[in-house]
Amino acid sequence: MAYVAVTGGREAVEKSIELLSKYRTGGESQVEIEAIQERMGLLIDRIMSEAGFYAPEYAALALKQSEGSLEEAVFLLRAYRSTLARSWYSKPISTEDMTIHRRISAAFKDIVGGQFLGATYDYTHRLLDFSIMDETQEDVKKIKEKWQSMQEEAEPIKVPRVSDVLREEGVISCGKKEEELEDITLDPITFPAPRSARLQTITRGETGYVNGLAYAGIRGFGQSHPTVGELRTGDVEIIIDYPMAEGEELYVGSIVCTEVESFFSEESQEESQEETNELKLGIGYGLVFGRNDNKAISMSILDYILCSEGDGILNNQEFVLLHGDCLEMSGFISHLKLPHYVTFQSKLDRVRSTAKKEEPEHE
Amino acid sequence: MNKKELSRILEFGSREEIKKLADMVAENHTAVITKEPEKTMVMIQAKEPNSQTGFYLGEMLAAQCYVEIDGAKGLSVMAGDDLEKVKFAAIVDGAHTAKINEWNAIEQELMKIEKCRQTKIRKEAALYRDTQVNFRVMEDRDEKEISI
Repeated sequence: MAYVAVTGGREAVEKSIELLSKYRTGGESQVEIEAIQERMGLLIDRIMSEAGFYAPEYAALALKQSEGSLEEAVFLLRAYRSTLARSWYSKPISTEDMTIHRRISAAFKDIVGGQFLGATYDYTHRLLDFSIMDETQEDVKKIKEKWQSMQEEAEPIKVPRVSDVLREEGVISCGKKEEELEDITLDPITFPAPRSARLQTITRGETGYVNGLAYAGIRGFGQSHPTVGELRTGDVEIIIDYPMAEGEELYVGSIVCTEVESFFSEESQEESQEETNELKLGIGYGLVFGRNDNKAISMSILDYILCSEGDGILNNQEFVLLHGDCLEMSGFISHLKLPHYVTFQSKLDRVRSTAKKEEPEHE
Repeated sequence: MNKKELSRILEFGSREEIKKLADMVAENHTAVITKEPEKTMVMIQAKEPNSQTGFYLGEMLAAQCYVEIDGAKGLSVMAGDDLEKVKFAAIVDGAHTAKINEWNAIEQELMKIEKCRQTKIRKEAALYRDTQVNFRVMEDRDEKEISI
């Protein structure tokens, strides 16, 4: 299908863009970037994750600029990112050394190092809190002072992975290491895609899409029901090599991320002397920017399904990996509302000509 | 103090604190900016822990600056977009490379910042430790079976 350009409407387009500023500045209150960044943290995390760009302040700016539209904010961040040079590659981040803010296991109640709920909505009553409807600066100040007055200190939480213990026990099937390290931001993904490209694609995927597909996987369109072996959220250091002195490293900063390892029971692929089918635990892996439990869990489910043999819809790499990028899917759907006058006219002409041919039969 | 430890402290310190250190260097040494501060990106690599397969998690906004102090090179790459702070940090890094005479005094200041950094980390840790949870299974099960 060919595309036909349209012209005209310049003034109307300019006025339309101008009108956006009226919407963006509605009401009397000022929306500070700092307030968005600090108090809409989960949304900021989601935008950074889907943009594949860790820049909390810029994510807040994008959100302010786009009236809170997540897909527009992701678009803005991706566009800005494309103007910057990528001068550095970090060393592989060490999530086992993560400074833990939250760490839970659905598989074991007692795990080495303990479980920490951190800050979670999991156990809250989902009731609107009208007491914060008219929250004043003074109210916020009191809450802040309460937290700032806490003088208690403790050792940072650093704990081994649950899977490490099971691996030592020999009940986990060790996946095959893939050396190929593809970067989908430089080279378009090709199929079959190596695991590096699959993981990169899913971690940048639109959160709702990733969650929806994982849900479908559990409901019967995928392999089986996972058990979350471990979910951990916390700070991870970003380290690069110091280029001017061999062996030295530079600390660039830290990021908050959420990591999940989900366990699935599977038949062992390893050769056994016994005839019986030995069962092992397979692992699906999820790692996303920020605090985002569900996306990390969903990523681990999709990772496992894509690593498995099967003819289900979710085993189809192209289906799973090509339809979940926020920018691509929103962009394509969005283009449908732009002028398609010529193509539609052609469609309409065909329908009319068919209708005319059929007319005598109706008489 | 190695470069990693130094850069951790420099990243934590406020712009004013790092400027103060850069000023201490500039008192008796000439700082030549060999590459002006600019925004850049760091691609973050990750590894799936079971098979050790690597992948790219995403990029991080950062600022970078190159300097020379008495001919010794200094560099700072820092998360965020504070172009002033990254310049001051690069000067301090250059002073570290050059092993200038004033380094001991600078290091003392750095250790004060490091102390604040440690306190902040330990205070935060206490908040998270308060949320430690001990679930109990409401069945008569052998505890060892469900521990790891």
